[in-house]
Amino acid sequence: MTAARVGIGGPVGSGKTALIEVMLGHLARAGIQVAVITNDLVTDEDAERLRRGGRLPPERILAVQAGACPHTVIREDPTLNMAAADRLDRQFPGLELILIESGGDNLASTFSPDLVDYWLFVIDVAGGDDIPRKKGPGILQASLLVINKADLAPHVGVDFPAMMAEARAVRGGRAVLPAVCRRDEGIAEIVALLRREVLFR
Amino acid sequence: MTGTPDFPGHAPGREPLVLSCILGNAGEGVWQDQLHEMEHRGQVEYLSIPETEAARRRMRIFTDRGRDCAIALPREQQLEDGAVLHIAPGLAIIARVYGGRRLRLVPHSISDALRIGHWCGNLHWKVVFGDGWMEVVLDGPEERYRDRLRDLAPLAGVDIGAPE
Ligand SMILES: Nc1nc2c(ncn2[C@@H]2O[C@H](COP(=O)(O)OP(=O)(O)OP(=O)(O)O)[C@@H](O)[C@H]2O)c(=O)[nH]1
Ligand SMILES: [Mg+2]
Repeated sequence: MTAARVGIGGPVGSGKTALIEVMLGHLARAGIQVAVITNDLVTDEDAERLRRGGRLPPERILAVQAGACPHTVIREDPTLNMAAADRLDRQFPGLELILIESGGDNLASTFSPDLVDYWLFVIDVAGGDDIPRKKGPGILQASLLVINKADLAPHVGVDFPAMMAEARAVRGGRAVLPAVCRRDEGIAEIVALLRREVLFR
Repeated sequence: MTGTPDFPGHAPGREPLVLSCILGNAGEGVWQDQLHEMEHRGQVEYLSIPETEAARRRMRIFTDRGRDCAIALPREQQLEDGAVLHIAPGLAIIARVYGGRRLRLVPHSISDALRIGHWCGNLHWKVVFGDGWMEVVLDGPEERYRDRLRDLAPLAGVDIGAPE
């Protein structure tokens, strides 16, 4: 069995890299073998940040430069990311999970099922509580919608429970989970869902 | 449908049955007699997978009898209707990929066809091509698709309807 491939998409600055950083701790404690692929526009910024974080050996973190709109390399032509994932599979026998972070994008961004088995869309409360109502394909189609930065809700005038309820309503029963990546809140539930849905352990 | 933690047929705490490759297709001659017989004995279970999800290599899903399954296919295999995922004495598991709902678009001219193709491509819709038509595979309410097509009406002549 090759490693499960899980995409993480969402608008610029919503907390995708922060989510990966904090998930890596949970996954390591569960003994799950992980690698990460980051996608940035024209730099390796997020990969460098994850390497500095030291939660994974640096060679388990690959960077793909999209060069253009980030969704082009996760949906229209995901071959660069697929090649990177194949390389990780070959290089690390026993690898169980490859997390693929998309560059920050808009609400229409989605992952090709040729690339990933499951994908998360991360939004944050500071983007406004009307975001779920705007029903972009990312919001509607992701396997799991994560609403991050719940800690900021009082500061940006967002009624967090109402935002969660609205997100659940527009997604017609697909999973929605809250998170505060900065304080490691809600992450255990996200990891538990991933383990159930794609890692099977 | 893919699984959720509170699916009624799920027996919590039990391991799912892992389905790690496609063994063949139920439509192939070699399988037919065996499967037919097993079907009679009530030993065949089905997994219903919407076309929009069929490209996934991994998923947690329940059979029509509530058996908890975990599909984890090699990257070079892909789910198709009739894929045999498990066969053992007393139990066969077969994937049913259902076509989901579609909208058929029939352009009036070649120029209209070019417009429509470009339009649907920009919307990243999953489509299936036929002779003189194109069908959009719906992933969500039909109204959502018709809303987008309304903006196209002044630009291209197209008949929109259900597939035949
Ligand atoms: N208050 C608060 N801040 C957070 C939280 N999660 C992330 N942040 C902050 O949000 C900012 C952006 O986080 P990133 O993880 O870089 O976001 P990203 O989605 O990876 O950004 P791009 O890759 O550039 O699109 C950083 O300053 C984080 O510290 C959270 O739960 N609460
Ligand atoms: Mg990032």
